[in-house]
Amino acid sequence: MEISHKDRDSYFVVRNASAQQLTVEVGGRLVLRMVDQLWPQAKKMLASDKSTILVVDANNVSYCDAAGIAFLSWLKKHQTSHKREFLLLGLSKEYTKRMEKFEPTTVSPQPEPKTHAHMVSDMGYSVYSWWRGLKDRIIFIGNLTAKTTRVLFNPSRFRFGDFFQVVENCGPNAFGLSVLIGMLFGLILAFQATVPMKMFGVEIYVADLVALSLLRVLGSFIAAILFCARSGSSFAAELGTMKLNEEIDALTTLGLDPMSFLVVPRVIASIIMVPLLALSVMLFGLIGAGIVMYSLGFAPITYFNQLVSAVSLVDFSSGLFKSFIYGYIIAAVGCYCGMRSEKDSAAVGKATTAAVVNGIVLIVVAEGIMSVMFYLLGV
Amino acid sequence: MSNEPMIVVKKLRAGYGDTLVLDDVSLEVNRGEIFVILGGSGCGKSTLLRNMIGLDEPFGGEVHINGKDMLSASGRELDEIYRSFGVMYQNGALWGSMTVMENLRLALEEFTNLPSEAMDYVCDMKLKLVGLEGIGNLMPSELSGGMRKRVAIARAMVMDPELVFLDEPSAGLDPISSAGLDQLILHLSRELGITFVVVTHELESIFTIADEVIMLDHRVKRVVARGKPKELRDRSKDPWVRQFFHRLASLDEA
Repeated sequence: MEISHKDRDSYFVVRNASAQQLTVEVGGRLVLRMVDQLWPQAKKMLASDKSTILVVDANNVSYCDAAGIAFLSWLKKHQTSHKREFLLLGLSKEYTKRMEKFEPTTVSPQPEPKTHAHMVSDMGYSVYSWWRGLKDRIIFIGNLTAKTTRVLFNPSRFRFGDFFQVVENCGPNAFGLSVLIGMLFGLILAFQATVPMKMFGVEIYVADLVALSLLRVLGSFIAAILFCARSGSSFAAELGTMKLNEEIDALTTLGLDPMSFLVVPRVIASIIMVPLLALSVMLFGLIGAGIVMYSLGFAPITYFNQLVSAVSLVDFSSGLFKSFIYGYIIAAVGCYCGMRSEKDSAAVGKATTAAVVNGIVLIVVAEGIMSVMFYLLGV
Repeated sequence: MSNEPMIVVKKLRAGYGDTLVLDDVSLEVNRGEIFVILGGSGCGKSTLLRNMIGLDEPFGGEVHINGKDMLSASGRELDEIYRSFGVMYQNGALWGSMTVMENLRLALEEFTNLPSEAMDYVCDMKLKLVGLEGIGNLMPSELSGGMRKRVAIARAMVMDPELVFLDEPSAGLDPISSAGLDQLILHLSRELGITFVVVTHELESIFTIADEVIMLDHRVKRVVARGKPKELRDRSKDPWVRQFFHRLASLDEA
C-alpha cells in the first residue's frame, strides 16, 4: 500500500507489514498542504492495522513545518494511547527536539456534550431566573419613572442636543416609511372591504370601516410595530454596543447616571414620536382608502362627509392615547434589553432580537388590555 | 527557500479619504527576520500595516508579498495571498461567540481535510507553542488580555504561515506578560523561521526582538530612519530619532 501526495513532494509508504511490525517510510517536505492529504489516509490505515509495533522511517524527510511535526507526534500519541510500540528512525536532531518540545502534554478537554437536563432542577432554575428577571424589570421601571419625573420637574439639566438627535433619528427619518405603509394599508383595506360591501350594495360604508379601524386600532398599532422594528431595535443595539465598549461604564464612573443620560431621552422621544407617526399612518391610510373610493365613483366630498359622520373625536383620541403607551413600552423595552446586554458581539445581536420580540408581544398585550378597558368604560 | 525578500513595498502612498498619511514609503522585509515598524502615535504605522495586508487600498505604489503582487491580485489569487500570512490584531479580535479551540480550528476546518482529531491535535500544539496548554474549552471573554493576545498569535499561526503580522503585540500588557510575549516572538522566529512584521512603540520590546527597524514620522509622512535599533539609538544623525529611542520629552535633551 502506498499513500503519497499527487505531486510526489512527500510520501507515506508501507515498506514491510507483518503480524507484529508495520514499517512505513515517510519523506519529502512535510508541510501543512501535504500533511492535509497524508493524515486522513494514515488515520484510516492505522485504524485497520493490528500489528503491535509501528516503525516510521523518516530518513528522507527534507523539511518539516509545525503541521509535519504535529503529524509525526500524533502518530506517536496514537500508538501509545493504543498501548503499542512506536519507533521513529532517522528524523534529524533538530526536528526530534522540536517534536519533543511541541508535543502537547495537556490536551484541551472535549466540550461536554449537552446532557438531558434534570426536569426538576431545570424548572426550578427557570422559575428562579424569571423571578429575578421580573424583579430587575420592576427596579428598571421604577428607576426610569423616577428619573423621567426628575427631568420633567428640572428640565434645565436635560441635554436637549442629544435628545433632538434621538428625535430626528426615530421620528422625521421614519416619516417616509410610515407614509408608505399607511397609504398602502389604507388602499388594501379599502379594496378588500369593497368586495363584500358590494354584495350588499353599500360600498359607501367602506369609508366607515376603514376610518373606524384605522383611528381606533390600526393606525397606532401599525405605527408602534414600525417604530419597534426600526427604533426599538436600534436603541438595544446602540446601548448594547456602548456597554460592550465600556462607554456606559465610562458614564457611570464620571458620576453620570446612564439611566438619565441615555434611557430617559430615548423614552421621552418615543413617547412624542410614536403618536406623531401614528397620526401620519392614520392620515395617509385614509387618503389611500379615499383613492379606492374615488375609483369606485364616489366624489371626495361624499367620502369626507361619510368619514366625519362615521367617527367621533372619542374614537380618534382613544387610538392616539394608545400610541403614547406604545411609545413608552417600545423605548423602555429596547433600552432595557440594550442595558442588560452581555459583553460580547453575539449578545448585542440577542439583545436586539429580544428588544423587537418583547416589544411586539408587549404591544399586543397592551392593545388587548386597553381595548377591554375602553369597552368597560364605554368609550 | 529563496533569498528574495518576503515583502517588498515600493513608493506606497496611502491615507483615508482626502488625508494623506503616508507619502512615498518603500521597504523590504527579508525572510526570517523580525521587522519592526515604529513611530509616534498617529504617524501611520497601522495605516502602513493595513495597506500591506490588503485591508485598505493604497492611493498608489506597489506591495509584493512573497513575490506576489498584492494590489493587482483579485478573487482566488488574493485569497491565496491572504492564506499565506497570519495577522494578530491589536485586541486579539478573537471571535467572541466561539471557544478558543473553535477560534483556532476555523481555518483548518475551512481549508484542510484533516480529521477532526488531527485538527484538535494541531491546535493543542499551537496552544502549547504560545504557552497556553489545555485552555481550548474557554471562551475569549474568560481570558486575560495577555492570554487573548497569545491565543490570537496561535490563531495567526494555525495554517503554518511563513509570515506573521503583529499589531501592537505588547500594548496594554504588564511588563512581565509583555516580556514573555517578546520571548515568544523571538522563540517562534528562531525556532520556526517565521518572518514577523511587528507594529509597536514599546522601546523595551524593540531592543529585544527587532532585527530591523523602520521609523515613520507624521511630519514628512515617510520613513525617516532604518537599521538596527541599537545603532539608531546611538548613531542616528536625526535628533528626533535619538529623542525617540532615549524616550525624551523634548528635543533639547537629545
